[in-house]
Amino acid sequence: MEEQKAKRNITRMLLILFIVAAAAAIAVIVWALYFRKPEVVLSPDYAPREEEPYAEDIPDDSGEKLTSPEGGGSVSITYSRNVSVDLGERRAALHFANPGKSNQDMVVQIVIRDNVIVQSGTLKPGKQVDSLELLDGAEEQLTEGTYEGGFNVLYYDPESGEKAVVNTEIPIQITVSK
Amino acid sequence: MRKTGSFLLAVSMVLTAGGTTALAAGGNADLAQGNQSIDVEARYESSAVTPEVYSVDVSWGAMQFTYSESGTLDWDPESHTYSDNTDAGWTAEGNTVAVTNHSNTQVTASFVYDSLEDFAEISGSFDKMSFALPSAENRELDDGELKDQATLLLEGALDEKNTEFAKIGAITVTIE
Repeated sequence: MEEQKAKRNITRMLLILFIVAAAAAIAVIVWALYFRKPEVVLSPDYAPREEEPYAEDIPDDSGEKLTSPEGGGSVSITYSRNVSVDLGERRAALHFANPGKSNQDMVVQIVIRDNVIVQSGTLKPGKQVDSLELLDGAEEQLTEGTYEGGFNVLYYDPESGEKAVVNTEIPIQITVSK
Repeated sequence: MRKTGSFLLAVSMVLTAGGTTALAAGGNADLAQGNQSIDVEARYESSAVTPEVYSVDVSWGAMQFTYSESGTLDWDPESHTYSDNTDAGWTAEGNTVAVTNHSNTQVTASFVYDSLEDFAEISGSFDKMSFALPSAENRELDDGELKDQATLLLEGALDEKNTEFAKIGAITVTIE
């Protein structure tokens, strides 16, 4: 009789523990889905001092500059609208170039639903990138599949490093794999 | 019997000398003249792909705007108030954004002005909200059709304390 009572108590305790754990899990899921604020990555007002480490010279770039309106700026951008992300390697494979004819430095961000998952260092005119590292924690926000996202391209004065009054947004398709 | 054997030997020698290749499948031989021709057939098959390459130039002017008031505030002694005979408005220097398409596909450029929080009372709009530019395929580099521009216009009043140029907003050009 006593033994049965003890067994019943243990079962009840286990059941309570299970219910508490399940409730905690549900609470975490609800918080993650509806209340967690996405990490905000602010676009720098001045160009990063560090040049993008994965940047390479654009082959056969003439470097002949565009004519720039007085007091303004001129840029040229060359890109592909398909980007793939490898979660295992924490890398994005893309094609983005700041041809030598630009007269502004650039920073390119990859954005999915207002979340910046990639931000390059400074890309000087005449440089291109085919690979960029994911920002810390970005891989936790993504799962395998295809996303509609965008390039956010920021321009900076090469002398003062000051951000230009104009920026560019470009819709892209991002394929995420493990 | 010996004659028959000699004849067969001669025929087999002619056939050998005439070219065994000519007797391969698909060929024919003019054995009498010792010439041969082989049919050569060809067809076109394309597996080359033409990926879309986007290449766009964007240029902008100084984007400096001056809000100025002119006229007079006339004192009215009868009502002890001023009657407002002033005129105010914006003048701009370099308020255009130009886009040139060098892509092998059409692009559409659209323009949005966003005020900074401290200057929310000033709004901006473009004379062209968007425009499409054709593919640069088979067009000269300086083809006028590949370039267009939009002009920014501001509305609202700037506070009189802002006597120096200060950043009041930013422009986003979306290329689709």
